[in-house]
Amino acid sequence: MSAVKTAPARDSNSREDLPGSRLAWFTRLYLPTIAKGMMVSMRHFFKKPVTIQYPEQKAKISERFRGEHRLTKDAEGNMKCVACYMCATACPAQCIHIEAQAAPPEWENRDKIPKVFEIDMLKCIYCGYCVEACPKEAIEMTNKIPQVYDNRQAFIYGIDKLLNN
Amino acid sequence: MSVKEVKIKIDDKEVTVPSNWTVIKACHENGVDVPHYCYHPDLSIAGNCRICMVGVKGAPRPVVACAQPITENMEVTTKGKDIEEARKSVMEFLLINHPLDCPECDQAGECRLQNYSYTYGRDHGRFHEEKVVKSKATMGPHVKYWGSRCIVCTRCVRFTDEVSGTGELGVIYRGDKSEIALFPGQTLDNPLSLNTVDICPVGALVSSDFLFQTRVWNLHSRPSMCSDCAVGCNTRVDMDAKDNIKRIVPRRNDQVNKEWMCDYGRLSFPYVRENRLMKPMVDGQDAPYKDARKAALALLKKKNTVILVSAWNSNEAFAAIKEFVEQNLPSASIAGYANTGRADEVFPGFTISGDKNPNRKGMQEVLGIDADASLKELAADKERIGTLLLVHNIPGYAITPEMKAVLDRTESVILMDLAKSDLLKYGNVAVALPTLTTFEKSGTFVNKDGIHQKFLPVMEPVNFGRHEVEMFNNMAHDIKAESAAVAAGNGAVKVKA
Repeated sequence: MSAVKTAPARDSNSREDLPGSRLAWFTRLYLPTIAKGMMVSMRHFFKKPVTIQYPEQKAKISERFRGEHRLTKDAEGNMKCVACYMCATACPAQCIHIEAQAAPPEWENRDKIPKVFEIDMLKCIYCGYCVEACPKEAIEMTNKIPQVYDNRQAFIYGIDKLLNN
Repeated sequence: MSVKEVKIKIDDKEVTVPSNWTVIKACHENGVDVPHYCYHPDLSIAGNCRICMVGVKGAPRPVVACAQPITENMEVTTKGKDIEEARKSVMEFLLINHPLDCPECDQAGECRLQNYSYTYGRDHGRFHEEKVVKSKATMGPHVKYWGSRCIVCTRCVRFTDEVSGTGELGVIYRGDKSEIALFPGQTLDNPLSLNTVDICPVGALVSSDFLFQTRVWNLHSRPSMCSDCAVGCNTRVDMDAKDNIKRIVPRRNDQVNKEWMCDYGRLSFPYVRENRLMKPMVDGQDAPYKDARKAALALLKKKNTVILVSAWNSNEAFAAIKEFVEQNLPSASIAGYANTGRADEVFPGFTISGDKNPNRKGMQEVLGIDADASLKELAADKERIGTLLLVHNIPGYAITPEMKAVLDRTESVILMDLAKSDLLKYGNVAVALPTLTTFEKSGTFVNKDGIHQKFLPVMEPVNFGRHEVEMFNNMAHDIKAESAAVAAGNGAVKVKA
């Protein structure tokens, strides 16, 4: 029985595996590679820049961008929300807190409105499930980029803030 | 007509049922679900919702199962294309004038219309005309009515006729305009009124106490037992995520309360979180449980010790007290007392006991004490009481003259109670030990008919209270450890906690 010679397993990370050809010392100079890289950089000097001057300049945001939430109003200017808890139920981050109360009698076609409607923007993952779940189209997402504040309380948006967002 | 067992076939499965049953009852008792709105096992048959259509062999068209009596060798089919078609059509008719206000409706989530619509209904409505809008009304102190949501199943009307016997409700107008209304000059204010909310299969009758509180799918439920009176209704306690009790609804027990419950019991839960005695107290100061127990034991060893137990305690507590006294305080006497009662409220289908104690019978059974006579005897006695261990546990207790007489000639009181009650202020309370409500502890109550019923805790304790059994066992252990230390001749008395 003759021994079967098998090729040793190649380790692609091993330097010793590189063939000791003429290219090896040439490559080891690194100069051609650097020059190649510089070419790429130089080419971009003559192109239109991609970056923007952020605080002064704002990036163009898609119409469909899911930013901060807004509570919508009906034709009479009353909020559409009826505190059905659908958004809070659908929310995977559980960031919506609702407390309901009876609607004022002059609001017709409405029995219930929220007393408290809070979204914790720190918990929110901007998935848009609340918008999908809403049976009254009372919540939508603006294309406002999530804001930053210096205290946690400011991230909890109440009814007033959400209505005017 | 004599009742005999007859053989029928339900979906090709042979079953034997009494001949005076209806088809729907035979189906339900044999685990076959037949949808129903107007049928209720404890009410008369109305047969007006028409959703319980089943096929009967030989009948030309589907029949309503709730109004169809059993006959010998009947063959019932509850599934099949024609039956589903019939139910689908009924659903469509019921939903014609039903508003699409599920987001605002309190019933959403436990609504028969929603459930059956999901199973049998169409995915869209074909009705494009204007819907009939009916009135909204406040029926009584606890019940509100949304007319448009009503499917006029008349369960509530039959309830007020047959169970409460007060007959406040009736149906007015005809056809698609018919709605439930109060008779002139009446209000739905009988103490069983909230049962109409429970049996309403849709959101037409809603509880004004639960209205807009939460959505039902945010609640979790635990089985419990009402301790408000001697009936001992089986209940289901619904709580929110923070274990706040939101409502109490009856749980079916045909031996005790069927599916009914009184409004007093339903609304009796706020005491769980109101004015509770949070920590053990010694001489009016918060103290650790160990110290309070030590102080209580020192007081109990005095002369003329009386242990006064209320009829709100469980059989287990009674047994623990009995054992403790027999083994450790042979000179002490046990007396009982009860919450002040009133007259029974008797309705044709339900009786609310006037005895506002859940376990008067249990006290009689375990301790052999008649609560009222015992307190009277103790009050008439003129001897001075050294220490009175009061195992109270009665929420909202008004001190009776007899209790006053007992407290007035007591040197010091050890109080085991739920709340910072009047007793805490009135008596010379040396030690106060917080206890648990029936929602927080387990035990057994014996109801007025002698039925033993076990209850389990539904929530974590609100206070640092302990079960009476635990407290008495701990005290017995303390005494044992003390006497063991003395017997060992250590001199110094060391009580291990």
